[in-house]
Amino acid sequence: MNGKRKRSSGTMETRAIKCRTMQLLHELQINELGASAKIIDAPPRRGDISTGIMRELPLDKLPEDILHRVYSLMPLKDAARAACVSHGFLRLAKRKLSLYAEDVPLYEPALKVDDMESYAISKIDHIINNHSGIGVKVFKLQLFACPNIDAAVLDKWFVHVIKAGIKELSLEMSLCKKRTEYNFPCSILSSKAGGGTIQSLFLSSCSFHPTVALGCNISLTSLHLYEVHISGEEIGQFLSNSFALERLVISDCNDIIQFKVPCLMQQLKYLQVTKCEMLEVISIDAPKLSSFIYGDVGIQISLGDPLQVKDIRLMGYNQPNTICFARTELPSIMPNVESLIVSSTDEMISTPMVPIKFLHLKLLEIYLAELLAFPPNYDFFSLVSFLDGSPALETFILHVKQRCERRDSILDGEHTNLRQILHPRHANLQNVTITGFNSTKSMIELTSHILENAPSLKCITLDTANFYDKNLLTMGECLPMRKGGILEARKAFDAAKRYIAGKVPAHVEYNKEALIEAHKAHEAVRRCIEEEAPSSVKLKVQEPCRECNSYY
Amino acid sequence: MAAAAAEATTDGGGKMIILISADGKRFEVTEAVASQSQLISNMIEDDCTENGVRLPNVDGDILTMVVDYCNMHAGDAAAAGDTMKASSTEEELKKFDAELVQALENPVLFKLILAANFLNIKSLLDMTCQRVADMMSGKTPEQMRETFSIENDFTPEEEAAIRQENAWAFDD
Repeated sequence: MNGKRKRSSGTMETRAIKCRTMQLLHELQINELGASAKIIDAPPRRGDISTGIMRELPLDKLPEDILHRVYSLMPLKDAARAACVSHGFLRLAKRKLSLYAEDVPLYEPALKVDDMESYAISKIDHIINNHSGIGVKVFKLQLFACPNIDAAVLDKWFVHVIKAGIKELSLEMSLCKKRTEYNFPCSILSSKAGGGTIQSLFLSSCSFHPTVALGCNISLTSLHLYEVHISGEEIGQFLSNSFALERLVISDCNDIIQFKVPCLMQQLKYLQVTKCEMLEVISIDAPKLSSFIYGDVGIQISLGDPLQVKDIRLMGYNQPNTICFARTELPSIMPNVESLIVSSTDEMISTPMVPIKFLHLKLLEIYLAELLAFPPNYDFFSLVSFLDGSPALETFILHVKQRCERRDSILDGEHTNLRQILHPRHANLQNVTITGFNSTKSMIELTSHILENAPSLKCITLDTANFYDKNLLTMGECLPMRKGGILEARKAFDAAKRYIAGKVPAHVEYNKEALIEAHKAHEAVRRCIEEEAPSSVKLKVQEPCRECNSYY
Repeated sequence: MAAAAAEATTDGGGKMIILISADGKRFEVTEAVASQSQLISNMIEDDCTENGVRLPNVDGDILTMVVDYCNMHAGDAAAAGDTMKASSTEEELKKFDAELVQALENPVLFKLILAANFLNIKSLLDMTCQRVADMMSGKTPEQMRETFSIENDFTPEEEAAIRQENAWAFDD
């Protein structure tokens, strides 16, 4: 009964509200506020009408999330026109006009693996049909879930989406074994097909066979090929038509034997050629090249004017002794390098003393692992050769990959005198960081040498944990260390206390108690012993953190 | 007195709460009506509506509209079981909504959007944003600027370049 009565009164009330609202609106527009029945306690402020003030508020001053909501409700064509209204609207439009097929939720938990691929393809197909012919600027396609996608489907998508005006194209095929490999349709890159405006092209896990007929890629500034089947001749030919190219990354392309670019790469600044197993020759003339990243020491390199190159990363993936190569060969190949990062997975021989120098080197970062050496016995003291050969060096960073307890610990053997070398001092060296700091005699010798021969030293950090493991997780905690690693870290901590603490220049106050305390307490939290005042040198010794210790 | 009002209940049994606008106007609504605002719904759950809910960034006239909107729409959830009533109400509601947004001038519309956003009333926010989107539909950039008093901060060169880029959107 009661409910029925309420309902009927509800309908009546509806009409009443409607009438009142309409009246209110009317009154608002004639700039007079009408009282609403629901206002139970309105103060007498009739003149205070915000309508007059509100007229000033332009749409683009609304909060951005609201504007995004408005934008999400607009058809693409309106959105594109609105982009021409103001900078603020252009920003909003950019987000809407980019087509990211990767946004599609490809992994529906309810789907079986077999169904996933067809589900993903139909989803992407739907999106692409909605966007065809509307001037897509960014097209990124990640097809990890679709190893067996039909080439005809992909071809159709590209024809739909690639129109003049597209800026960025990225195709990442599945890395899984595919039934057939997709051959990227190069013809869509031609100006005729509309791909002539592409500035950035990224291809992964497919074939790419550009032909001479393709013509010039005047807009292309960035090219990234990863695990792409392309021959040296094909890439050389393609690049000689890409005058505007500034950034080139070729990685894991195992069909390339000779990478030779027949003409001048006027704009190329960044070149990375890594993990191409068959590669023997890199020959490119790029006068503006400043960053060069390459993978293997055995490759014959010709860079036209190597004097320009300031920033080198040498990633030794396949051959041993990359660090030795960097010290002995690089100064003559690229003498003006200012920043050098060398990574060696397997360093088996000590770094020799050679007279040739890196006269301009300011930053040196070395990643050192001894993958195949068993037991590992690299002579860390031999790295002094780099310090000697780099008179301008300001920052020296060494990352040692520590996996097991060292046999050559200074704590185990009989006490012998530390080696010393008398050389010109490292006048500019200010910052030194060693991660994976261990207790070997040669590591202690290296650290002592730095402390005794670097008068400008401001900060030295000795971290007993592995840099590699630390950086795998971004949460600030590390991957758990193995038992051997954690035992070595403890020993290294002891060795630092015994042999290094005393070497810190006399004017540096060194807090031994904190060090002992940290060690004794077995508190797994990473400790940081830091001494600032009154010295000019900071010394930090770090223990592994709780996570590192958790295996132990 | 406010506390007494807040404790008051209607004969329908719904608890009443008081909403207070920026300029001090007071509105008495049932919890069911006010709960369409996610903000107030959360406050009801946290039991902090006893002395009325102050809404310092919603003006009285805007709040009047919001309250009316909520009163109108409070029915749909409650009456969902009754098809007869639901259908007639639905039609009425649509008409009410359409007339509400279409009659608004920009500044009031924007204030209503801000209030819907602040109070977190999704249906009202969607409806008002949709109105803005509709108002932009089919307009040239100049007309859009005019309609929404937006300053053109492009240089002529910039504007030419952007129009060129989006030329496909102008071809009708």
